[in-house]
Amino acid sequence: MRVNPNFVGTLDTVVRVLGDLEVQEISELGIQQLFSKAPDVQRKLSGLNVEDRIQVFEDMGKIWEEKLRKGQLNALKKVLSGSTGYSESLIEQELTLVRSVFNGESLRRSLEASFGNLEALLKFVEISKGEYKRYFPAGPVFIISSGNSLIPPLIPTTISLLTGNMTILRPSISNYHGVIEVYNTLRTMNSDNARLMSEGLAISYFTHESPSLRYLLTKAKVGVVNFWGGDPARVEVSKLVSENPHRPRLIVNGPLTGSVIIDEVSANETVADGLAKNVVLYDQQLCSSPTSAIFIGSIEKAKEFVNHMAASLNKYGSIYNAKLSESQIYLLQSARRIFQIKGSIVYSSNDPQNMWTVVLSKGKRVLDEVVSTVTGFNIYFRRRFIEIVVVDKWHDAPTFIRELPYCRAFTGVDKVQTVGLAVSDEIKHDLLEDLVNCGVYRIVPVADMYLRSPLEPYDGLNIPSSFTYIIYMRDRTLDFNV
Amino acid sequence: MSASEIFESASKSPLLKDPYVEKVWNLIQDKSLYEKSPDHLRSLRRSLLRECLDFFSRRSDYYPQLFERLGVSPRNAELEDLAKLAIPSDVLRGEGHKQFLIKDVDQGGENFMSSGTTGKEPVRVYRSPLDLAIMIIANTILFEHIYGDYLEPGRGIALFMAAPELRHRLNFVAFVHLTLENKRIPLLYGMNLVQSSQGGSAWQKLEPNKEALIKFLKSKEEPKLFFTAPAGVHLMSQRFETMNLINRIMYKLLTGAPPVNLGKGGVIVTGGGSKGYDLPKYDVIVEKARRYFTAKNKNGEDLPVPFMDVLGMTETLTALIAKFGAHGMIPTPLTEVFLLNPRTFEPLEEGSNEGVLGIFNPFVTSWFECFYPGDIMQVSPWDGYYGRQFHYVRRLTVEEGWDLQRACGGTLEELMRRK
Repeated sequence: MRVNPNFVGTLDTVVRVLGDLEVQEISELGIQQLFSKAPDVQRKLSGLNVEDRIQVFEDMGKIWEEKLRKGQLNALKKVLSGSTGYSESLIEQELTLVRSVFNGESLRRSLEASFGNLEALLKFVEISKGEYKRYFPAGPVFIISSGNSLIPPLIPTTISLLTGNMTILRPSISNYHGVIEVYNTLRTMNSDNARLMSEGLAISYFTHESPSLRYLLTKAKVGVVNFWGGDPARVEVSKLVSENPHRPRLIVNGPLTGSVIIDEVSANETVADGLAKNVVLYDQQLCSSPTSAIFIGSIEKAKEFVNHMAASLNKYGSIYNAKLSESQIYLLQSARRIFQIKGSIVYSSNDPQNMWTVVLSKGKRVLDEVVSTVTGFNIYFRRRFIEIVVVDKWHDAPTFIRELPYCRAFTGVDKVQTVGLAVSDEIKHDLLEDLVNCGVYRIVPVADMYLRSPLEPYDGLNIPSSFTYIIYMRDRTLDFNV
Repeated sequence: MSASEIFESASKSPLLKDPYVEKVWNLIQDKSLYEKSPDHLRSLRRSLLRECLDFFSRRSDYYPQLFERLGVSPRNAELEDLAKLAIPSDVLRGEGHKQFLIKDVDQGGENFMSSGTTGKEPVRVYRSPLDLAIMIIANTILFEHIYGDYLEPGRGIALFMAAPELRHRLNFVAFVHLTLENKRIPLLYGMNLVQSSQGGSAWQKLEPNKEALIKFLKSKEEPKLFFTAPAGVHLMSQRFETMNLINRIMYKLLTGAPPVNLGKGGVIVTGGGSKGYDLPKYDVIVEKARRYFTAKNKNGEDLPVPFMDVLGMTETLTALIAKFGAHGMIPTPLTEVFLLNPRTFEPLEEGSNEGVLGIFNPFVTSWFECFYPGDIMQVSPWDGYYGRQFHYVRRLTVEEGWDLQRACGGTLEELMRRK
């Protein structure tokens, strides 16, 4: 497999070979060439009217939609299905969602959620009498993005460009070709603004031992490093960034997961269907994907709920196929048996295209014991699998959320990002208060845990704010005498 | 414990008063089972399964709940239910076996462990004195049946290419040791466990015990039984093959070999995996070994040295044994060997002949011994008592997850790989 960088103009590159991967990447010299243009590019980008910037992406989304409609992305579907392991039908949905990422209204709302008055991205705006602020690009921004799906790399990259930053994107191998294809659309657009945006973006894969990557992190005059991922890469990147004399801002979006809390009063077919959909979509690889659940109520009601789920898991699983290898099946089947040995009730499918598993455990999480025995059944391996712990009282539920990062079964995950909530009004208020204290970032309905509103922060932060700094200006003296 | 101590301790087991244990104790000693038809034995095993389930329901709080959860009724269980009951051997790592032991299990037995070459905690299984006695008897009868003759007590000599310390750790070594001890056949260990050090840390390694090897090679006792991993016999054959003339003469003067004359009834018994060596196929090993090892039949006529291959693992009380050129792996008549569909882990469908190996030993009294070790086997018809023979295909390997990781932590993928 070979990956080539994508940028405007001429930059020095170098080819590195890593096993069967051949990487043409921007060299140290190339990065220097790129960064020499950064002040000028950022000045021009941040001088553009914000509406014009948004319009570039709105147009880009339309072109993408057209390409998709005409079947011009069919080959890409196959490529991405192969590199990510997702079914072609899921990739098709991903490609459709690209249009929404570039939706002008969504982008505007996202920026407004961070900045309020968008004029402040272009000029000083008065915030109080004689006091002004202006948001200025903190870049160049270097984004090391995640590989769980195509959309996550597009969001920070687009926001970085919108906020006037020269942007260097290092995608994951799994979504590399998709990301390149998306921004190729920008390269081919026939407008000055699009050309300017295009000039501000360079995409390159860097192997982890690449001197270019090391240079970017330790020496280059980069303003923001945005790392999406977990350890050990996170630790390595953090160490390297700390060496950089230009003191770039390091924004880490660590590995997170989702959890669901349901009470028996709310446990209806709709909620079961929603949970099943979120378990199947992206094979639980999103930071919002539900990978554990708590059911408040009786075991009998929980069984009823799982029976509803089973029907939906079969329905969604047949749309989004996922094939396991012989050794993966062995691991899964062994895990299922250990759950049974430990006293849990196992519901499962042996459909080779859709091997889902729902486990009901009474009072405690059994998954930890299973993972202790079958160590390979870890968070990275588990797909279409959820253990639902049945508890009597709602007070017991938050503990599971709070303790999740310290459980062996969730090693590698920082904490719960998203809680999918389906509980009665009686307990909702008190439960919300407890959840707030558990450190979660999102509390949303179970049905669409995987979807984000344009207004939502990312993991507790507004990304646009992370890619800018605020210049404060005052043209009057303060009424204060020493 | 010696074999005699095991039998003495076993004879005092309160379990022998249980009608089910009394029944299996008698059955495992019944050599006539090897003359029965496959259908007869299958029917016997089904009835034993039901009685076995009932026995464990009576002797444990854990099993009745498990059987209920799995929808298995002792009264009308079928052999197909074993597919539900089989546990992965991984459960037996560390202290995992303890949860399966019956209440008031007989104390004073031995613990056996897997070699731990997978880098995980080894599988550890407790064997009560009664189970050890059953192990000796059942394996001896099976061995003799496959070997094709009765091992005369006090006659012959055996060499095991293992260190004596492994007698108390590895199931296969213990079974050979105790069986031969019970038969009063001297057993020499061809390896020594020596302390060594590397990079400051102490570790142990196996080195040949030249004295024992020479003693075995020069011995005039018959039969000579040579127990080894396939690598052991292969390396010996290779050594003979690559010896120059002078070394060959000197070796011959010192040991009388090559060829290694195993005499009347001599046999090479292999067992265990590749031990880290890149080995040729089994038939190639046999073919090469037969150039340097000789044996005779009971009448003193030369014959290609017989090879038996043992499939034993820590978690099974009795082995499966193959005889090269005659048949594949065969268990005792009471052992239920079954194959599971590698996809569904349900019983293999009619017409399929390859699946995940499962073993059920109804004569084990301390725990319900029904498990799958993670091996793919083939089954084919056999005209002997078992009706079927099994051939090892491969071991299932498990990806540990890092290579599969592509979640938020999937960045810098190469850093996450552990190949």
